[in-house]
Amino acid sequence: MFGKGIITGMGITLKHFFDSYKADRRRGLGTRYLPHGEEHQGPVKGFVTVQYPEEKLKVPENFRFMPFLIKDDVTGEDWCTACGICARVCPPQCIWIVRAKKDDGKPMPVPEGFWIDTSICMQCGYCAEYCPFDAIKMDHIYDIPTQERWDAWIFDKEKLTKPNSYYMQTHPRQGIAEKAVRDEKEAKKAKGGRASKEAKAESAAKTTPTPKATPAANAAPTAPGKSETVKANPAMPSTEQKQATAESRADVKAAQTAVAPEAQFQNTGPAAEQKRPADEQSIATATAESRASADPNQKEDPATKASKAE
Amino acid sequence: MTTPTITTVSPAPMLEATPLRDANAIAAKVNAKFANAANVVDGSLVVDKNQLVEVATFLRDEPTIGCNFLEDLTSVDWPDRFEVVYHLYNLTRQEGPLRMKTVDTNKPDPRVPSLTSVWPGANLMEREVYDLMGVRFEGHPNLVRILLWEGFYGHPLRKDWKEGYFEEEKKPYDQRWPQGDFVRGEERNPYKDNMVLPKGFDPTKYQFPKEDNIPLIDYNAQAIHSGELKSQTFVVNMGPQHPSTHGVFRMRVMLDGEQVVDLQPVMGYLHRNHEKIGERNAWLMNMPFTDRLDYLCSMGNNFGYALAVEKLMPDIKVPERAEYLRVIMAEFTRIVNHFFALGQLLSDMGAFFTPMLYGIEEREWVLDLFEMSSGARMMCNYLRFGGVAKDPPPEFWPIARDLVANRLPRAIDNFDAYIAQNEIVLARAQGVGILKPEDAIALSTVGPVLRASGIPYDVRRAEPYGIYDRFDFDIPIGTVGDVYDRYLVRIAEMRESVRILKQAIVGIPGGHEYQSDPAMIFGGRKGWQVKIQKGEAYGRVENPKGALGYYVVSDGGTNPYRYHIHAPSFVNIGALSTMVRGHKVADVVIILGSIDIVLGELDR
Repeated sequence: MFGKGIITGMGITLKHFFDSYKADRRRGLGTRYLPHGEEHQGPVKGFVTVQYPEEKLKVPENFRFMPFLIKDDVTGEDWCTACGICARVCPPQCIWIVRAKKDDGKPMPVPEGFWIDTSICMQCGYCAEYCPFDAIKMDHIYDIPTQERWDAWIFDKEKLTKPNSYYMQTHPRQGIAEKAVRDEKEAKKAKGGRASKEAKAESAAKTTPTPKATPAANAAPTAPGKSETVKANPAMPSTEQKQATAESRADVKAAQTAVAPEAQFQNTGPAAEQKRPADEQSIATATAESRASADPNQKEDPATKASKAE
Repeated sequence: MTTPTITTVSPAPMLEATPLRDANAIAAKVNAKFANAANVVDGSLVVDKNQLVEVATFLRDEPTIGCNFLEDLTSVDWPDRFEVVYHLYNLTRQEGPLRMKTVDTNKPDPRVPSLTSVWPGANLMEREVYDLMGVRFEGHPNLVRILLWEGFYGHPLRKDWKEGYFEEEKKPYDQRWPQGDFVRGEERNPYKDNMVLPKGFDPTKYQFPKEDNIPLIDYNAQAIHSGELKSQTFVVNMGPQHPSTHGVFRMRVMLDGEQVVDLQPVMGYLHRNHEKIGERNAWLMNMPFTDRLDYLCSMGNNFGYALAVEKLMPDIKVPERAEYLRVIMAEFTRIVNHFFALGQLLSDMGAFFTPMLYGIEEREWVLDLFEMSSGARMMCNYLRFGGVAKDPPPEFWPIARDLVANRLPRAIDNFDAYIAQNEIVLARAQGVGILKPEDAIALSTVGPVLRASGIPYDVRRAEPYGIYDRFDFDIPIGTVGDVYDRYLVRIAEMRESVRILKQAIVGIPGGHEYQSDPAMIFGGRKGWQVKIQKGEAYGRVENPKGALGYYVVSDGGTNPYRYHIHAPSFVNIGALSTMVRGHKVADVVIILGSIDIVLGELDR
């Protein structure tokens, strides 16, 4: 007694205080605002906060936020067959699908329209979990504020669709495992329908990696900044990439202020399509860079390889 | 100064008595005393409502039955009748439940005698049933609305009641697919067309009623007496916007000087009628909604719901590995919740946020584990009927082992060291907010509040669910039942959780070498359409805040016919006024903190 408990408590507080500089001492002075978010993951001792907008923690592969539709890299077709399971399993019922019809009125396995009211989406991930065609997946994007309350949150098919290579980039392990399951099914089935198209696409991707715009490169001026979130291959982050991001940080900030918030989601929208020719030069350089930096990953699955090459 | 010690006990052996689950034997005993008062329907005891109070008193006082604990009280709206359902337990013999029902066929104005005289804990629960279902409990001391406001029209849990933006009776809604014409509910049904008000009710002229079983101060009558100081009681509203209430919760405190004479909890600010939403939802859709109940322990909430529904799926078999994963996640949840609760408690005592942040620091690592296995930090939505959603990735296991072996025990010891003997904490917490064991049982409290009063009752031991019967752990109990005991019980429970986690992480089949398959989903892709057989089930888990129960009734369809939640925060708040009487205003804050409420669950 006589204040012993209080002194113990203060001692622990003091220890916490010094511990909070442990990481700084190890790295050297003046490094606090550099991007080193990865250091703080896992049970380390000491400094545990990150300076959020400047540095971001990398998210695990299973992280789920915002559903998106997958389109084939080569054919550009949706994998969605408008079967409606996602719309029926959705707890807040925020998915609307219009199934396309042939001229004679018979339904086709293609979505004519696909809307998600993301303002009421509860990020449960059921749509991705129960989709039998791997056509809808959960994204890793989480910083998507807008100032507009209504229409900005209703995502139509164009806004939702992203290429499969993007999915393979963000979810390498899951993507490969799912691809293996699909390949197995294909081998069993007779050729026909979407399966053969997919196989064609895979072979095309293997032989000639067509330089196509990745979603990151599409958002023209923000390319380096966007790639920071998009690129993050959780398996093995390369130091070159990190440095590059750090150097271009100032430019990114300036550019980000100029870009309207809606532009962040027009990765595959018409606006981005128009920008493509103009940005070919920058895409080419970006491709070269990513190839150089992604060298250790080259032995992975061909699909990942293709996505890297883009 | 003596500090109360925490003793750990195992349950007492079963005595010679009628098991509560044997409804037929109990009905025979009841009928021997009261002619034709009870009969058995589908395993539950249906009591004639005219003799309900006598039968309930008999069930409580008869030593060979001894239903001393009313765990849950709810009601079901059937097409031809209202059923009020009671779940009764015996805490001494640690058995139950006995499901007792009483029926009223008068659909427009059902009336049932109140059981607050038998089990005082029925007070809040009966008010909730009256509010949401419209069953009047005759003889209730204060039968007013509790979650909704006084001008609310109708009773929303009745099957004929429709909400403002009503679309269809059941999900999935037809217009989503295959002709998805995208229309928001608000657009189809514009504002003001969706409101039904009672006849002759004008919201603009509405005067709030004086909620007076606590009289408000009458300033005009106050006379100044010369010579001697005369005091007068007055009412203070603490909340709903008050940092000590941990959310939007109001306490009407009647004070005499600084002393609390009486307290009345006022809640419902966060009410969203979770149960009505749940009855519109299909069975599986409720899983992510349960995350939002007690948003600090979403894994535990999922667990309870999965257990309740799995009781209605007799052919389902949970894989061994999934059972272990459920236990691991539930125990991690308990640790993070207690860190949070204790941090809040100390914050309420005046140690503003420093201890809270130490707790949050540990919580972050556990949330990292939740995120990498389920995909979200708080709204995990991890469990499925018959398993869990995903296998954790390989990097889960080294971190989990490190946390369990080193970091968490160290953090718990730290938390204990700088608080348990701290003079300020001792002065503030010891002897404050004492809840006697008999009061704790009578008021239907659950969880650490019940155990701190010296009742060694833990659902994990009394009614083992999942694979909890395989683990070696103790149940910490308090001796005095004050705020300090609740604090010590929580610390000791964290240690027990670490003990369980150590056994579970070693014992999990596949072990840490298990190569996880990311595409593996235990529920399977066909799992979105579940077949639930007709019947009713009450599944409960020992959540960090207490026994969390789900009462589900199925009519064999795709949606639950009735979906009720027994929320530990809700029943524990019923004991608040007993605890605070005679204490100072500043103590009200820490007594509320020691109950550890979460408003998402309290208001539902």
